[in-house]
Order: sequence, then structure tokens, then C-alpha cells
Amino acid sequence: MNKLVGVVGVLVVGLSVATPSASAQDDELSTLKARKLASPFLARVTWHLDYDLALADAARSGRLIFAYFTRSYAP
Amino acid sequence: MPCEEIERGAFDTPEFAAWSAAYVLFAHITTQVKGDKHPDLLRQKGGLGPPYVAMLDARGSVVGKLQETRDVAGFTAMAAKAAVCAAELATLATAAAAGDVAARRRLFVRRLELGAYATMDDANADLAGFDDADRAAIDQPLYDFSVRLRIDAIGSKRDSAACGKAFALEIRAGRTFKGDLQRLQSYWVFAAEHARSTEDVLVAERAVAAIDELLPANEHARQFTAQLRAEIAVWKGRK
Repeated sequence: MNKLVGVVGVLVVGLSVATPSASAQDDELSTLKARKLASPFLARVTWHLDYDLALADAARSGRLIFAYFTRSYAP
Repeated sequence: MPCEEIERGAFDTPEFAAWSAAYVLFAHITTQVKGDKHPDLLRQKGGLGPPYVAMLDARGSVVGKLQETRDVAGFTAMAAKAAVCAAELATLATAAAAGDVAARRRLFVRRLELGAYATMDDANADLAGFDDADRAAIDQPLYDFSVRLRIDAIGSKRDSAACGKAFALEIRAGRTFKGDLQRLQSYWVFAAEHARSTEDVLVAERAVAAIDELLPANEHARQFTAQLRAEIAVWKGRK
């Protein structure tokens, strides 16, 4: 993997600035988030969606945390 | 679509529902929605991209990462390794609480390594009670953590330039980052770019040597260091 290109990629992404359609983009991201939160897998068993609450539950119960990281804005 | 595969596959089985009862389930959704808490948690916990599955202890230390199949058998194997790591941390915590200075230092470093701290303030909170000898013993891991935080916070070319300047100054002061490979590359590239802008021979030569060692077979890296070497020769010729 070309890590130097990766570094440059980070810079290019970072140079992006707000555009006139930023508000529409925010709305779209919120819609996608709501859609993700409605995913069936989240309803089959009880998942914490708040990191701090998950930590508190683990401290209280003595259980380890099974953490699943996903995203809503892309497949 | 790997996320959908695991969500509609392993997570959607009675076997998972039964297995998962022994754990606290936490789903982190990176949304890019402004105001969301912990937007960078995936990276902080060692993930390169979703889907990422890990086991955490109650302090947020990453005690296991899924390296097996994305099914209950894989989760079980991960959890077994996580239990060993969590037990190690618990043993250290018990010894530290009993006054074992070496255990206290080791515990702090392990937590740093395992992503328990999100900020320097988080880490500093655990440093309360550390004396000068303790702090000297953890100096390098703590410096590495500070570099990691700064690199991860970069969001613009201005940020990277500021980091490069700081890293160059720190290299000149005798401090160098000794963290993970990915951030090491960023660290030396940013320092090199600052050295290039200031014609800093010492830092540029250190960066060339480090990048050559890190990426011996990378063509882009080879071109980068060859160009920098040529520039260093010009700077030296002018002095």
C-alpha cells in the first residue's frame, strides 16, 4: 500500500471547504444516519449506541464490550 | 457491502443472540453528522475502516480485535484472546492499587497502547500520583501518544504544516516518535516537508534515513527521498 499517497490523500480531503450545498449535505447525512439506526440488526438484541453508556454498563456488570463499528454514509 | 453482510448475516442469527448475552453490545456508527459524540472512535480504537469488530474493557482498552471469520465462531475466538488480555490488565490494576510501582507504570503504558485514552487530558487524569521517576519511565510512550493525537487531528494542509514544524523542533531537541508504522510515515513526511521549507539539513537527513528504512520497496518513497537528498546537497553547497 502506498502510504505516502495516503498521507497526501488525507491532506487533499482536509483542504475541502464548505460549499453552498453544505446544508443539503447535512440533511442527507442525517437521513442516512436515521436509516442506519433503523437497521433490523439493532432491534434483534440490545445494543448500546452511546459509548459512555457502554463503558458504564461494562463497569457495572463486569462484562467485556463487544464493539461493532460501522458507518451510515456509505455502504 | 461488508457491513450489510455482517448485519444481515452473523448479527441476524439466534446463535449470535444467545452468544452475545455474555457481553455488553456496543454499535458505533460513524455518521459525519455534526455534533455526534466520539466521531473518531473507530480510529481511536485501532480500526482502519468499517466494518470493524473489537472487544473493549470497561476502561475502553482494546483487548481484542476480530482477526477470524465474521461469525460466532470468529467472535468466540476473539473473545477468548480478549479475556486473556483483560485478565492481564486486571492483574496489573490490582498490583498497581496495592502500591506496585512497576505495575502502575506498565498498566498506564498498556492502556496507552490499547487505545484507552481519547485525549491527553484523559491520560493525564491517570497520571495523578505519578512521581518524577514514574513520569521518566513513561516519557517515550506518552510522547508517542501526543504525536499520535496530533497526527490524527490533522484536517488541513495548515495543520500538517504546523505538525511538521513542531515535529522538526522536537527532533532537533532529541525527541523522535516511535509509534506505529502508519503514523511514523506521516510523522517523517511532515517533518521532512518542514525541513524542506527551512532547508534544515539535520531534520531532512533524519527523515530521509527514516523513510528509506520504513519503506525500502516503495517507489513513491524512493522518489521522495531521492528528491530530498538532491535538495539537501544543494543546501549544503550553499553553506
